[in-house]
Amino acid sequence: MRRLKYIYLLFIPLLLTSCFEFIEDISINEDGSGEITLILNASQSKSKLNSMLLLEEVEGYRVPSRAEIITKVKNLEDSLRKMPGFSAVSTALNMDNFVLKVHANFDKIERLNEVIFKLWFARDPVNAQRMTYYSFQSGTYIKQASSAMNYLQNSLKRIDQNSLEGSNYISLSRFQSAVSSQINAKSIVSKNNKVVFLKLPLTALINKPELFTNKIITHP
Amino acid sequence: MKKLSFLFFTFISLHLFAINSPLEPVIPSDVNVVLRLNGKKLAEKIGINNIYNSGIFMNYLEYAIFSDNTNKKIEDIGVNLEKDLYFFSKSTDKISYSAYLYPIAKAKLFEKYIAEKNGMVETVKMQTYTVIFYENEREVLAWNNRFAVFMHFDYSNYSDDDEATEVEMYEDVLMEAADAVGEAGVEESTESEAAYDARIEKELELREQARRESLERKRNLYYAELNPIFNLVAGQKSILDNASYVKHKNNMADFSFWINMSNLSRRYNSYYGGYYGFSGSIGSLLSTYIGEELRGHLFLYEKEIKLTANIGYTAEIQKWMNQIYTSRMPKKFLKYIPNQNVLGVTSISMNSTKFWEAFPKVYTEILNQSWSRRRQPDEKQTEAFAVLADFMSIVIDENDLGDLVTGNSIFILKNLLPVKVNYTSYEYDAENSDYIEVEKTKTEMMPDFLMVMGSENKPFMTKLLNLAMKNNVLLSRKGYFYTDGNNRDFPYKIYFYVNEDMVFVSSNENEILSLADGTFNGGVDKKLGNKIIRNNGYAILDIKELLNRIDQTYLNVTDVKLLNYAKANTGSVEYFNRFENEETNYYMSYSIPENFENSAKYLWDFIHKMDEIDQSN
Repeated sequence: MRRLKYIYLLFIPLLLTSCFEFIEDISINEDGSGEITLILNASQSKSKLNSMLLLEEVEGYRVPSRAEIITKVKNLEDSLRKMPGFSAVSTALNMDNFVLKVHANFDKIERLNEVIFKLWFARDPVNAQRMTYYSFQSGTYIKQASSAMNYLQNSLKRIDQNSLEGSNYISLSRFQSAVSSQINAKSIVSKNNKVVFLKLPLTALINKPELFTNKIITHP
Repeated sequence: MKKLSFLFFTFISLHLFAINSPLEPVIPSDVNVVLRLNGKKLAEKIGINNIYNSGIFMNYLEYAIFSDNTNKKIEDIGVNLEKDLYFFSKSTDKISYSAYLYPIAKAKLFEKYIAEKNGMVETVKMQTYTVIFYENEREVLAWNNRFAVFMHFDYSNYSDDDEATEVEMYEDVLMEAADAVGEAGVEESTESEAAYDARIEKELELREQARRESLERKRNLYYAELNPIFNLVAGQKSILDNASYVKHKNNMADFSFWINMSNLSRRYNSYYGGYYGFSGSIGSLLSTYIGEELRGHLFLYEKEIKLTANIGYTAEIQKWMNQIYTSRMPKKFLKYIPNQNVLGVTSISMNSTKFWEAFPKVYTEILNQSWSRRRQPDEKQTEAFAVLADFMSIVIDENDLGDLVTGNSIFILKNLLPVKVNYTSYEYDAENSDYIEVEKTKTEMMPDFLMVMGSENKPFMTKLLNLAMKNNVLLSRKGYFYTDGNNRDFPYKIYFYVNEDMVFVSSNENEILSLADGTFNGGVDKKLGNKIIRNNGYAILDIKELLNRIDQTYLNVTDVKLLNYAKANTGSVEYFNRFENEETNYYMSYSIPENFENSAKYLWDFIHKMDEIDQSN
């Protein structure tokens, strides 16, 4: 159905795709604990978002008000704060520039798997599955998108996926010990050998989840 | 827009098979929507071999008809290409569905194809047909020796006391389980990890049980819709027993659609009420919602694509529509159309006093109809709606509202202009080990427009604008009002001016200033002016020029190529609507560029060329 998008040009010739930046910054200690900072930066699309916020509905989706967005972020923070294994949870939402930052400490990185399950389950209890996206054991950090991304790909309407074109996913994985190896061809290891950097189009993450996968071995 | 593209390919599909109409009698009489084609003409215009060899067309067939199978040859699937294919849909309080109906030429070949392509999907042999239930539990494919029907079911919008509700109830259980998981952390912060896990496991068991039970119920609902299609009995009514459907068929059209909107009331009610809210629904109420029936035909002529459609109404609504749409645009409005080349113009003309007079009665009539379709007639409810209508009539002063906004307006899209916009971004250091937040600037294209609305109550309109000033939404100078773009809830620079009988809204300060000091120089050619005056609604959009205004700076190489092709091969679109002969009539015309054999081939080539550009990059 992707090819059908060309017919849109006959009717809506304005090529106004949204540009988002999703930064996932994870620091992992040698015992598997650590901290995560997530940044969702939609500032580049703020004119479009401001226009959408004046509407009640866009492409069949109800547009939340600014107050509702703030409440949802607060609920997310509350929910995360009370989940086992998380501490120092904070959120910062800039509604002028549409930048959301979420920070939390965790006692083991596998806690993030439960957060994803919980978010998925709340949205789709029929199909939600527990999966392992993040794990850390004996200095080896494994990150994999697995079939969850396939589910996301299938559940996103094609038009939704088109609207993500131009958006990027950036991942920084930080370690206390030096990285001795990593298997993701798109990733770059920093000069100090302690950070693995990955930048991908967000659509690639959804359509080719294997690009997300990595196995990073660190020296203790 | 996705719906439009879907419609186009549905049109192509239908066209392929539409030589005559042998399958029409199996379309149930209670469907709300039927799409039908004149297949022979389109095959001639596009070329049947072009259609057979089109990858895009097969891509569509796989999605729309064969549920994402990947067979690449139409002849391998046993479908009869010499007869009609239809799309029809039904929306009721219990269940809704959309369906593709197509003939089978070679049943064994078709079954072989189905078996090969659907693998482990469960197939159930019924007495007169075979059915496949797809994994998503909403789609089925059923067939006999003569035809097949692919159906997509939906019951999520309904909550009546019926079987569909029982299906929903199980899904409610699931959602409650999800809520429990979602809220658990907040409410039970002292819960141990083991207790948390145990609770989740229990909820997952409940989920599995609910899934099994709901599946069985869903299938029973689906059989209830499939059986009448495959088990025709003597005297059973079909869509051909619908006099209006038969009356409005047009065999000269390349594509026709027929939509009975009266039975869609509840869905529309939910849609507009839920998403647009009461105020947002007002405009839709009198144009679409209250219509009984929408019929239309598409003609793919040599130089243009022409769409004609009309909406029919009940006698009561007709009476009101007659009064509302007797109005025509006053000539004095035309002098405010800028005397320059513009990208587009739209106009609306109606008698808003009559609109507001009709609104309470029409709205409550709709409530009544909607209610009576869902439940047994209820005198108390009818009485309550009547009181509501009276109350609204008392509250709404139609004369004052009609003076405030007369119902005549013209919107002129003059241009798209570049505007510098600041935004936040992140830059990464040379080692890719850290990032810093930076401020960047980009150029965006913003519409340059002028809107003129009729208003004959300047004192009240001025009071409204002054109130907005007091609430720091608007500022004022030199006799006009404006927003400075710094208000977070409305970050745009817009200018307003009110004279004795009009309100002007513009994106251009000099323009509003010239309106305020009387130096505005406008005017419109007689031909365009006549089109605006003679119709209740009019629009013209120069798509080619609009595409020329798009900034290519942030587009990738492929998108630039796509855009350039589109710019070179698009025309302009013109639209009219007029209430006459007790119906609202719509006309749309799209002029295709030169050098195309006909408009069908133009559409076909356009889409394939765009695909070719995309695939080559």
